[in-house]
Amino acid sequence: MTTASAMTSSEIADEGIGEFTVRRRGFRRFLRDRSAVVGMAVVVLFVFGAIAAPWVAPHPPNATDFGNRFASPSMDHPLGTDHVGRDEFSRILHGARLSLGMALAATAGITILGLLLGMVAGMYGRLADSVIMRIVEVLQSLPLLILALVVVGLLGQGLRNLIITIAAIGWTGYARIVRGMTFKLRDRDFVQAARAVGASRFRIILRHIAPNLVGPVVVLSTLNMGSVLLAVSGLSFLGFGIAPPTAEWGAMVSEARAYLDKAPMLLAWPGLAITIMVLAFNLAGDGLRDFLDPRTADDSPGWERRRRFTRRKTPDAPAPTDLAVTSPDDPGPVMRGASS
Amino acid sequence: MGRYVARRLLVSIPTLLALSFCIFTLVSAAPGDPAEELARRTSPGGEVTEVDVARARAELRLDRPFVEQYTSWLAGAVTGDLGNSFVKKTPVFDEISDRVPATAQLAGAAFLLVLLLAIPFGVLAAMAHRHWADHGMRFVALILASVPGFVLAYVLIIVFATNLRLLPVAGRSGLDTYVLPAVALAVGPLAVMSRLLRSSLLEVFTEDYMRTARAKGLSSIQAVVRHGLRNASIPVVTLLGGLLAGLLDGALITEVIFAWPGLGRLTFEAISQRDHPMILGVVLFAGAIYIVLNLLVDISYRLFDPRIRLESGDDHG
Repeated sequence: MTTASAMTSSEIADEGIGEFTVRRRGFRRFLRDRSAVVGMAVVVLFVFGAIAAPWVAPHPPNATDFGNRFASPSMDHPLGTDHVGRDEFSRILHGARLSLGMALAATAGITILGLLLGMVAGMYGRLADSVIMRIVEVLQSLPLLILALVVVGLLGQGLRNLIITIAAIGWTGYARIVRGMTFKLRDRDFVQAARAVGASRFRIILRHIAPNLVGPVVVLSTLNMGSVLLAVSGLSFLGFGIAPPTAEWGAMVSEARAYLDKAPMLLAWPGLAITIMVLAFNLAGDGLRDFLDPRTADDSPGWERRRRFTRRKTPDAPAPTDLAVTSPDDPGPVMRGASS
Repeated sequence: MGRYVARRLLVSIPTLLALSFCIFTLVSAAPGDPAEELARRTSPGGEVTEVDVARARAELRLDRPFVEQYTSWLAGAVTGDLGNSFVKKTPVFDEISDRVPATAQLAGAAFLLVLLLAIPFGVLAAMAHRHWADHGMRFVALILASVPGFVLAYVLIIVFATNLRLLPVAGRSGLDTYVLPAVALAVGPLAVMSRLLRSSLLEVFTEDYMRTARAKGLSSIQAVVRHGLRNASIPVVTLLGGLLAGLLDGALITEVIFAWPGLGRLTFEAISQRDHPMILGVVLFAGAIYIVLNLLVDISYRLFDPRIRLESGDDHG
């Protein structure tokens, strides 16, 4: 994870973790990165759509109309109607509330768990550290989707259980990063000073460590929203999300399976919604990563050298926006299988 | 080397133990009563009395204390006896080994697809760095990595099975039944892997030995194939374990969609039927496979880069 390696590079550490000297220049670069701006715009659009769904949607999401099943798109029904005559567009809009809401809640859970356990492991050391890191190792050496399926299947179907499951399984990468960052912070003067005047570990975590970590970790987790959304919709597609009549994207895909021959678009719309949303999160995340990573600054020497070898010269070296820029610190996709 | 493997296998024992204990606890604490379900399934009229349930409970040995249940299960598991399925009454071990070939073939086909395609795509994108072809491939890869596996599977079914009628919708019989599930499974990881290989190659391009290779007269293709690829593959190989794991995980949804008689569908069925011994067996088996695959991948680093020493510790970053 480049954000994390940015944190650990010594120049940045001197400026304080969470403070980015290149922020202003980076922000301009972020705006120049068209795909990141488009991604951000789509995210904002969908979020507004989700919030405003009850007022914007042309029909109630669960209002059936049996005289008007499988209708083609029209002025009244922009995306047509489904197998019981419900307005597809309204259902997609209302589905955004649940899908995005669940992804947000699961991300929040993952972030909070990762922060807490990472800081405890980093600050308390010894027993706490080895217990937590052992759990991390165990979880990271297991097939997570299968585990998630088992856990949510046994807890029972439902929104809350699905969110709990994803949070309980997905926090390990964050805990690793937070632990590493806590180690770095622990040796800094202000923590040493706090310890010298007799502050307890708990107080140091609360007043000195946490405030310095929350920013970067929250950014990190927004980078991963896409993979969380994939996990959420995958599990809800398998029937472990919300009960059927309620509109939710994964569940809508699952419902449309029965009418694959008759109305393939019923499957395509929610599928497209998920894809666009994940794509937007990925694009915006890539942009954010570059914005926060001073290594990709325009004048970095690595890029000069690289340009020489690859013969094709362009005046401006844009930031490398890759799908998977990885390093040992990368928390990785929350649930690998959901995307494959 | 031998010591390293032995140590890794030893370390995996507590992992599997912890896993089995957690799943066992979860299974026991889960809502729903398998004894009542069994009684209902076996009684002809669907009428169930307290006595029937009690008998079923005794039959499933669910009336014993938790610790006794776990230890007796564990004692069996050590000797390879994972108990009998609540639903089918057959040994869990046999059910699992029946399903292994289907999943192994599907995951293997997808793995081959990823490797065979990721290398040319990655090399092409790296050599066309900042060319429109590179940008185009980035865009396509981003989209393909963002499509959920289950949506992609249905898009493939709609296009190639129900509309063009080229390939079967589901099932596992002839070779043609492998195409859609394997492609559906491979696309996401393929997108990620080829991008990773591209950025890894771009790193390698800045190395001195690449300039030397060009200077001694190799064409850029030759230089990339002979000197670039091998060095660029190291970070990619470290992710092979993740790739295999992703394929195993992804096989779950793919198998459910394509009615593929593999482990993924077995897991899904076991969970929906609350077949506790089957759930335990499948999860434990998946965990063990996963650990062995990761170990194999770690060992294979050495083949790519003899500088890596395996004995050093647990963090191969």
